[in-house]
Amino acid sequence: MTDDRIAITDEELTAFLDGQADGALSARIAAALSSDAELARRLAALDAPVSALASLTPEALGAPAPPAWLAEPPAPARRFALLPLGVALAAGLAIGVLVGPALLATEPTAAPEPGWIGAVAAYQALYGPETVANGAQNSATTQAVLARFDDEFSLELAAITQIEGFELKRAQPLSFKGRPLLQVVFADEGGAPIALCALRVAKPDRSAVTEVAAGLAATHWIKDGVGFVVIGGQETAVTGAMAAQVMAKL
Amino acid sequence: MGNNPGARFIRWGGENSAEAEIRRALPEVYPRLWRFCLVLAGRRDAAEDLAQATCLRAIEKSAGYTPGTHVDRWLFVMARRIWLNELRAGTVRRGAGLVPVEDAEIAEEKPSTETNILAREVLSAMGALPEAQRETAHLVYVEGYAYREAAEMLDIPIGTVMSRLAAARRSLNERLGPKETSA
Repeated sequence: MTDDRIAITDEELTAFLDGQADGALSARIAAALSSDAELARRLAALDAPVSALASLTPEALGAPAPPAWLAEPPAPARRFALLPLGVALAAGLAIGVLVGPALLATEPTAAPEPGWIGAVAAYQALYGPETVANGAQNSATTQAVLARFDDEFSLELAAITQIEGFELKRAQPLSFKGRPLLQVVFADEGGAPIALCALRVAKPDRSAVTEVAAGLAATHWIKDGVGFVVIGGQETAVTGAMAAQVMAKL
Repeated sequence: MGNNPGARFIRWGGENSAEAEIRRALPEVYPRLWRFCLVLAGRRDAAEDLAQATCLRAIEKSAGYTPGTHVDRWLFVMARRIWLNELRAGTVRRGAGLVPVEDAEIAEEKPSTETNILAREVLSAMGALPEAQRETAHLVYVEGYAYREAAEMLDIPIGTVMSRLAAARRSLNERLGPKETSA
């Protein structure tokens, strides 16, 4: 049986443990195990409690409810995907998710970043009324995210949780080229998503400019080394009005 | 596998029925889709964005789905493709890994029951696996797909599935296995 013993690979032992070995292989392994301590040791090394992985139920992980728009019949005119999704996602690559708090401390503010508003616009284009139709994030989480950015921006961001005419939905940390970027998503009175984003930039103050970026209305300005953009929808009057409120509060 | 010729015919004339089937399935599959996205992306907020982007893309691309096959597998493949081709680059540069503790503490809305302590330990062990092993172990051990099904979804040979699982089992055993055993 020496040949059989040599022939049994870890892959075959894995199939054996997973119940996916055929009858002949199972018999060969079972026979070899009775006389081969080394094989038994290898089998034990592979015998992880993989049944514990079944504990990763969506419920145990706190899976979110499906977005409300999934439960609805198709809208007459699709309002999501304001840009073709592929374009939006590809352009949105520049915005990743902030992984480690160490980055907050280690990334010095470098050269001006002309591209960050375009990246924000591409990311924002992923959102439609359907994606913000669910309830808002709980306020403790929102406050915690904002508090983290208070230090980054030397601001008191709690002031922006109340913006007249807009309902706050979620604050989340994103990143642009490794630098922390705050995204706060609101819904306007018609339920359309509009976001306030902020990033530390090495540029002088600049008063608000309103324009259309990647098909979305956007109002952006710089104050005390922090770049802000209010972006969403097609109505520049709306982003301008929201921006005015934010500027008055910060 | 859904490779019967009848299904092919339906595919050409049946975009609407494909879209209808996908729309019907999405709410039910969504929690599992989100879970797969969590295992890919490593963070809850990113997982939600990826899961929603996948749903939107699935409806847009419903013509590519063969009615009567497996919506869940089709969605997983689509989520993985969006993740690999369009989103991952932004996060991998900053280092992978599941749910950094500090972020988890501030940016999570999570329940904290006993079962979730186990789930978090297991998730953490999964997070320590390299991505290829992690997604393979997820499909086989969490989702319960057969080797052959996982191989099809990942578009790799079945032998590669087995070698990834063997490596994943060794790592998981070190983290989750009984500590007293010394053979």
